[in-house]
Amino acid sequence: MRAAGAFQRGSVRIFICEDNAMIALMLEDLIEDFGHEPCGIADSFDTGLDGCRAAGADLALVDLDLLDGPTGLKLVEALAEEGVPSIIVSGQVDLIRQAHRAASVVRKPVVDTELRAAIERVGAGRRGA
Amino acid sequence: MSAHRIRPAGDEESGLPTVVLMAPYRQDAQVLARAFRDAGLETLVADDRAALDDALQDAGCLLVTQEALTAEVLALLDDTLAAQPNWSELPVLVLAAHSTDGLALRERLAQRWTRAKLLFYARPLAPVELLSGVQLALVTRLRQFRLRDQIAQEIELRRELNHRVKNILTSVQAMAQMTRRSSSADDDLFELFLARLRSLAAVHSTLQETNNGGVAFTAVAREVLRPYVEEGAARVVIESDASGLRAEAAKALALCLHELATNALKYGALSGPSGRVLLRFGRGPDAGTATFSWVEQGGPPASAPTRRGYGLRYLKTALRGLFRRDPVLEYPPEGFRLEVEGPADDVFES
Repeated sequence: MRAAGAFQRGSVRIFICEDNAMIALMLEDLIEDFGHEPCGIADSFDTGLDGCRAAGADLALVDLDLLDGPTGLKLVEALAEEGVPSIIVSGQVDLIRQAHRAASVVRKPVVDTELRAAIERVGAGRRGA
Repeated sequence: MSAHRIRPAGDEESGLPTVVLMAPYRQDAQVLARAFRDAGLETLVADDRAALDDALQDAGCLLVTQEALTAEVLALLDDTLAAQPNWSELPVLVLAAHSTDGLALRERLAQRWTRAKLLFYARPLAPVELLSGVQLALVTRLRQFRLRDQIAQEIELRRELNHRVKNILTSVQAMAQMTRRSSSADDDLFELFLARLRSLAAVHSTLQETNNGGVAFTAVAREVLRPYVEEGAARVVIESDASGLRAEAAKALALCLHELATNALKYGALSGPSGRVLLRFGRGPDAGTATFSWVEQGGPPASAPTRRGYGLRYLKTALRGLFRRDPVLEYPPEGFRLEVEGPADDVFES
């Protein structure tokens, strides 16, 4: 499996689904700082799903609220169907009422050590799988 | 049938909540419900415990006769009254069989139902006598319902506010991180950060002043570019129509304008005394599109930047998000220019 292989190499291709450009760029920087590879930014359900596919992402960071509305959870679900794990990065995690298939949840404002730990955990889970 | 509803004619409705009535004895229920209907009130008659349980969900008040208070009905009312939320004190009107029973019943129920507004009546009684008590109870209940709605609205507002604050904090965090990361050694980091923060604050106040229909681009641009657009000495000329911007678009454009102005001040048309900027924004030739352009003239010859600065990176990402197209950046000798045109969907308030 593509994703598992990437996690084994140590550097992960991470796609960002976030509609605030400034926050997206910060996440891109943090991903680089952690030694991983940002592979694209999208701001809606459609562009997020297409972007992840086109970039061959190993992992996606997904905000709950995107440009086309509260479509983040739906995107997490669609990505899970394709075997791409995701981490929810949101200021509205209290709104998650239903079960979801995100590998992890990180609150905004983002604490970089938390995000890093979440990415490593997803990686560890993959290597174990 | 275990419950039925008796409604007044449409134009006679009082707007008061529903009376729930449980009066199993003879024609009591029909007689009372008819009297209430004639006074413009809606009545829901419950014939058994299950129907009563259902009917109490959004009852305006409960009217029960003594005969209705069987052990299972009493137990249901115990539970229902005890389970009421804080805003609720259901008015309960009890009609005793005889005036002699009234006092003992009152004593017993008042101790049992501390979370109800209790009113007692005894037979013999004409429906019209009950009517004023019922109306009073319904008005009281209506006030409770308003309180309930206000509480719900307040919780919703607080949640919304909480989300907005988190979003703003995250934006400021991103701003700070990126300012630190992409500045050169001779930049005053703190000044750069504060200037960006000022633009964010400016657009927030502009949005605050415009409640509905979207804020106009000119208002945002004038606020962010304030030193350069003063009457008589305008260094930045703004040409824009009055279309209302979506709030998110307004914020992104404000920060873009700030980055463009900072860049022009450092390297471009605003760095010397004679340069000018023509800023154009509005609907494209086809109303479904939006265009944005920043054209510098009269400054030093432009040249492409050698390092990847925050400003440029932000501009490209934000404008691509907003217009669904990559902006075109050019560096001809007469001055830097940026143009982008794309679908208007995410830009204007619809």
